[in-house]
Amino acid sequence: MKAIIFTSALGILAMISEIIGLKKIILPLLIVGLLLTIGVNIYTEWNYTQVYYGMMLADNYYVAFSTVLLSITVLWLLLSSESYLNEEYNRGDHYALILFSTVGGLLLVSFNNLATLFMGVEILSIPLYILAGSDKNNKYSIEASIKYFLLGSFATGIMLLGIALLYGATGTFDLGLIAQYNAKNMDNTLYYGGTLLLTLSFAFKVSAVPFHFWAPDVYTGAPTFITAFMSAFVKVAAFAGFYHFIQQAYLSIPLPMENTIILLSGATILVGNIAAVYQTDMKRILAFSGIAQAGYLLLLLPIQGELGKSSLLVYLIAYGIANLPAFYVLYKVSRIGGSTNLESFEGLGKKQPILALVLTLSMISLAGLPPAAGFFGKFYLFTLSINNGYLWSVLIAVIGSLISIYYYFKVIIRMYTSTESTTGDSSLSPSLQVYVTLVVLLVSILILGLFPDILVSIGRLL
Amino acid sequence: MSNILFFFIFFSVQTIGSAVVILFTRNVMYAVTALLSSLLGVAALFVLAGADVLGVIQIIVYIGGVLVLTLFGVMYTYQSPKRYQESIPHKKSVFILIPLLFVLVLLVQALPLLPMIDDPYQHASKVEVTGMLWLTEYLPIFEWIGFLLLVVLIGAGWIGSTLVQEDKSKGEQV
Amino acid sequence: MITTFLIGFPLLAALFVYLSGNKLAGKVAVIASLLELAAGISAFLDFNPIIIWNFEQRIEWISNLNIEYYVGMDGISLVLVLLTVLLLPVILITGLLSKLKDTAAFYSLALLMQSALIGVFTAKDVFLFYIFWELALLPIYFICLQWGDENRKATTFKFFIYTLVGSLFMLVAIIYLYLQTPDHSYSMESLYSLRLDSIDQTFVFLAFVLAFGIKMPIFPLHTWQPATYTSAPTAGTMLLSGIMLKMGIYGVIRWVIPITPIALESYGCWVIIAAVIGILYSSILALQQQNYKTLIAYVSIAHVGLIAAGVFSASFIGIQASLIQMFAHGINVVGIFLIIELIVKRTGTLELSKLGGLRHQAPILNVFFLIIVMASIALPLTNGFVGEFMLFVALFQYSPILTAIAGLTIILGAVYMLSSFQKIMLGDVNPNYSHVQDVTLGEALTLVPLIALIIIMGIFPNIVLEQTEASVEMLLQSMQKTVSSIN
Repeated sequence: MKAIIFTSALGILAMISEIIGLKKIILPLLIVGLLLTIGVNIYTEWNYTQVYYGMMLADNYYVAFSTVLLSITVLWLLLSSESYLNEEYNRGDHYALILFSTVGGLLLVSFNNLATLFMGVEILSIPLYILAGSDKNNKYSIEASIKYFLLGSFATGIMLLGIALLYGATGTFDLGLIAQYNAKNMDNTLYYGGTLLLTLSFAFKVSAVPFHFWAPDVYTGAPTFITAFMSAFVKVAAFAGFYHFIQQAYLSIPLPMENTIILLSGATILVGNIAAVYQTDMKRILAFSGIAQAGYLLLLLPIQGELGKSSLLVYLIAYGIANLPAFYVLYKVSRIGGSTNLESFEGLGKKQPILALVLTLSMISLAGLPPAAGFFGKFYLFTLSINNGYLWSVLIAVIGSLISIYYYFKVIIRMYTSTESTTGDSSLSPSLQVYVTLVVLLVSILILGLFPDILVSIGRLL
Repeated sequence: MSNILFFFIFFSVQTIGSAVVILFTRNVMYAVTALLSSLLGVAALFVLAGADVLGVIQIIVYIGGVLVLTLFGVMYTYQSPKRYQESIPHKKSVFILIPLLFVLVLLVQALPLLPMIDDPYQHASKVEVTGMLWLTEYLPIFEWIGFLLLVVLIGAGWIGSTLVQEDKSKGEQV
Repeated sequence: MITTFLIGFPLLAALFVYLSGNKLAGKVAVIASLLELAAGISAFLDFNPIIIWNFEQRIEWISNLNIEYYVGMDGISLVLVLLTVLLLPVILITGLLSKLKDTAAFYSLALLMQSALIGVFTAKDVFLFYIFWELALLPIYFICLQWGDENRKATTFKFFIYTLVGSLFMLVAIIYLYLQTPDHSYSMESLYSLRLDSIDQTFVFLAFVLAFGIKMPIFPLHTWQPATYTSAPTAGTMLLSGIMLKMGIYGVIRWVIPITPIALESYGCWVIIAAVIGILYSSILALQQQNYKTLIAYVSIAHVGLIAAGVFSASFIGIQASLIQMFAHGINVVGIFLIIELIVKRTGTLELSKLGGLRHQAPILNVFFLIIVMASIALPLTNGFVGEFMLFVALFQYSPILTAIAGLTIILGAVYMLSSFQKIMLGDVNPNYSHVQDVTLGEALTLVPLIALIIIMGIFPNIVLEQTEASVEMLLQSMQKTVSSIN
């Protein structure tokens, strides 16, 4: 609860920063504020499960994932500090909207009531509808915004209908009471209808196939850093929320839902990976890679208990810390090359070895090769899935991973084989704070890949 | 057919029918009017479901607020009515006959029910209960809705303000 | 402790080499690899073959999943570790000779690769084994990508995808094995005591053989290999052919034979048949090659096919032979590639039709080359002889017909090796190469140890065989236990 209040307050501070003359120092102020929030949140809420007004469940799961979400926001603020936001006269509003979106994410990992879930989804999404269109001079950005808004609203509508049906079946919005109902009444069409609709609307939010059509266009059209936020933050929040919902509302996951999710997962892995192979634009590659990653994550959702939670935590963190730097490099390259085409990456290994190294490591992590964090994420996920009896799904996931090697390494090949001899280009070098952030991210990718035990142990306490 | 079922079907047809009209008409004024009818139907459905508070809110917020705003907007930007003119055969008779038919059907069904509405406590108003719930159990939700509206306001203002900025720069160029 | 040192030292050295800058990198790297060699030799001297596992170290790593840092060396590991530490200085010096750009990156990648390779050969935890297995892939990928010839993009990619196909299915098999162990452990002991039924064994066997077969490579899985060998820089080819393909054979000995003996019994013959077909097929293709590097790539398939056939026969003599032959093949193939590098440096080409008559300008090179060629066609008293002879004995016990077919390679091998030697070195003086120099002192110093090893190993093969005897027997006992407890 404290984290939500603090973050909202910081958002409002960002909003009025221009009026009260804090425009220059707003960024460090926000970062310090968010770090304090993370600290206070862990200190006061860890191991101290509490339900606020029956609306919000603050357990260890919430603390862990809110920390992840707030950290992603902090990293995003640091990395994006040299972006187009600098040229905007209303930079404070940008930050305000991002922080409001963060609040939505926090609600999504803590809801104990379907009304809270709905509010969380809306507060998370609405700022992003606006931000997707924030590059006003680019018509693709406007297109992305409208597409995202229309399809997002549609998904929200479906979610509302699902909530209504669940209410009709159980007479309550409270997740605990719904779980009790679920234990007693096994078949009820209304109930399963509601469950199905909710599952589908979540599938839309995490861009699972066949609800993924919006993702590539929106990701490509939106400004690069907004895309980074969407692909890192929203995916983490949506998955953590989805998992939280299944955990809290069902004592054991109903078979139709399990089958639906496993089917969605297989389709998402295959379609996401195969479609990515044919892309020539790096942003679209990352969009489809995000879809494919959602496919792997879907495999985790039916796995209940501490193991599932810890695996989810490991995978999402690995995904987040690999994705953010990749988008940063993408931004830098598009800044110079003028486009996000794969050709722009030609010879980056010579021009900017550091950026190339960053991108290489994040691609290796996303592809799931040791020693990067992504490898352990995938390994743990596969272990749990096989243990849970999804051997065939894991084989599909393995085939998907193989396909994914193709497009992840296509970029790496481009970077390290250039025909023309180019020298260092200093205009590409990152500023000091970004440099430090990138180093921290790289080191943590490696550390989490080599010593994932820390995270797994934390995950088992959730 | 019970009375409730009759009214439910009646208002459902009104809601969905009007929504279909919004989809297919090319005249903005018609669309707004059809939206009005659709929202009224929803309000009536709420009342039928015993959620009279929601019904009232529906009328006050959507019809009294949002729709009036929309109408103003439409009127300000309404360029040439002839551009949107649609040719409807027997326009006058259609526009008179359909409402008349509606009123007639309603009256036929509703008149016999009038004497039954004598005991106000039989279907007690939910206003008080709802209000209490909002300010106690559902207080966080209430606040988060406020927060959401703040976000929407900022977003709207932000989109609007940049448009103005663009217009200014264009003006200078000219 | 020494095992951890052997793994960790190249890793540290790699960092140090990268920081020392392009000018110094080569020298620092060679010194580091020589220190590593010294450590390897001291391990060899301390090694006690009777107690099987020497220099063990066991530390909890990912305790939640029961994953350990668990390393140690038995005779089998020792042979391959020795091979790795012996060859790396030669490979690095070859890198120095061929004047690569961005040397710091190259040398640190090569040292990283060494660390991973030693890890593969010493890991006693199958998860650790997998990590090192994958880690060994990344440096060689970047080496081929950055320093290869103009076809490198396509060939490197093919190589990378191929090897990953194998290893990802192996990962699934490893996870499956882990879930089958009663104490949920990845350690070698738990896996060896597993008693899987024959269907489970078949699937695990298939996954492992796919991974190891691609790495070796065995016949239908070999298509990545000739192109990759040709387009990689010579030092990279040395790493690939000298050490990396031994990972596949080592994997079969270490994991396939003890864990899935029943499946091996039922399906091993098919692998051997494929290997024998591969021997014949690649020998015939080798006869027709015009590029000497590609020719050696095919020869390598033939040699490895024979080793694989010996290993899959799962007999004591077969495994022993494969170990000594792996050691010999590593030295010979690196020797040949070193000669190749020297020839390219002098003439600028490897097309057999353009070469010829180098003997007149470079008599010492000629002698070295001839010895290595003799070793690789397994002349008695060279290191190739003992291993090949024992391999044929093992294969004969398994199936005389297959031995007869595989025996053709002795003839074919002599034909292609000697005729290519003739085309390069013998014949009239070629006017294009009249200014060619003989080997310099530095080059000779690199070649002499290899030649010495070829002859010493040929005369005293027991240096290797003594070390591995007990370990191989132990392995086969463990396999027998598994077989008998299931039947």
